[in-house]
Amino acid sequence: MVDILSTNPFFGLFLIFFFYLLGTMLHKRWPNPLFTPLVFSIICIILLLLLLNIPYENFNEGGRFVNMWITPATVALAIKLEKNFDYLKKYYGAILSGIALGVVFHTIILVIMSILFRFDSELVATLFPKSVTTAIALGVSESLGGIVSLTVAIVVFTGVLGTIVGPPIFALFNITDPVAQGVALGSGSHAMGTAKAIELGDVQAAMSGLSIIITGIIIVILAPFLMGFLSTFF
Amino acid sequence: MRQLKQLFWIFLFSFLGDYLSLISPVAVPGSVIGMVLMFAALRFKWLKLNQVDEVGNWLTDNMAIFFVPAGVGLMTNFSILGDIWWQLLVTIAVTTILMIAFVAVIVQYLKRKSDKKNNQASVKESV
Repeated sequence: MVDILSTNPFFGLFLIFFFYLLGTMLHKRWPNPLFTPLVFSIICIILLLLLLNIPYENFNEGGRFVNMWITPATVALAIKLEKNFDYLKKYYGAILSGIALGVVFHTIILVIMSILFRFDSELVATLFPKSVTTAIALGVSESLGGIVSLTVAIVVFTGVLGTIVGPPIFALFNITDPVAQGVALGSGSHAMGTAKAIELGDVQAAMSGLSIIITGIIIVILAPFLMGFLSTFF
Repeated sequence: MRQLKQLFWIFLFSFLGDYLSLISPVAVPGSVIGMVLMFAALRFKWLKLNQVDEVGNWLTDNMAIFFVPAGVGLMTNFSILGDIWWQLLVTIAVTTILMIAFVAVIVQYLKRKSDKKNNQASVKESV
C-alpha cells in the first residue's frame, strides 16, 4: 500500500512543497538557520522516508520533476547577469583575483586537512571540486579518480552549509559590500549559495551566479595540476 | 501566453546548453553553457530583457526549492560515510567557512582599493 502511494509522482511533489512552505513559515517566525526552507525540508523528508521505510527512488518519481528545473533556473541567471553587467565591467580585477586566490587557498587548506586526517588520494579527489556546481564537480571528481556519488553529497552539503554560515561570516568580518558577498557565496557554495545571494539582493545574485561560472572554470583548469600533486604526495 | 513565450526561450537555451555540453570534450555543465549563451543573446540584443525577465526572475527567485530532491539524495550515501563521516564533516565545514570568509575579505579589499583610485582619478580630472 505504502509502495503504491509513494511511487506516485505527486507523493514526492507534495512532500517537497509541503515541507518547503512549512519551512518558509517557520523561518519567518523564527529566523534560525535550521528553518532555512531548503535545509528544513531536506531534513524532514529524509527523516520521514527513513521512518516509513520508503526508498529514495520512490520519492524521486516526483522529485525529478523538481530537480529538472535547476537547469532553466541556472540559465535564467543570465538575466540577473545582464542587469548587473556594469558591476563586472567595473570590478573584474577584484572579482577574478578574489576567486582565483580563493580556489588556491581552498585547495591548500584541503590538502593540509587531508594530511592531518590521513585521507587517501581518492578522498582528496572527491573533496577538491566541492565548492562548484554539481554538474562540474561530477566531471572533475571522476577525472581525478574520486568517488562520484560521495562528491554529489558533499557538494550539496557544502551548499547547504554556505547558505547557513554566509550571513554570520559577513557580519563577523564586516563584509557589507554586495559584490564581495555575492562572489564569496557563489565561489564558496555554488548555486545554493546563489539561492541565498538572491535573498540578499540583485547585485549579490548576479555576482554569485557569475562566480559559479568563473570558479567552475578555474577548478577545471587546476584539476590536472592537482592530479600530478596527488600521485606524488598521497 | 506571455509566460509561455518566455518559457520557450528559457527552455531553448537550456536545451542548447545541454546539447553542447554533451558533444563538448571538456566537462562543462549544460546549465552553465546555456547561461553564457542566453547572456550573449541579451548582451547583443538578439533577445530583449522583457522577452524573458518575468518567468526568468520567478525561476531564480524560487531557485532554492529546486535543490530539495538532490539534498534528499544524501540519504543514499549514508553507507559510504561509515566511520569517516566526522572527519569529512569537519573538513567540509572548515574549508567552506574559510573559503567564503577569505574570498569575501579579498574582494571587498580589492574593490575598495579600486574605488578609491577611481575617486582620486575623477577628483584630479575635475580639478
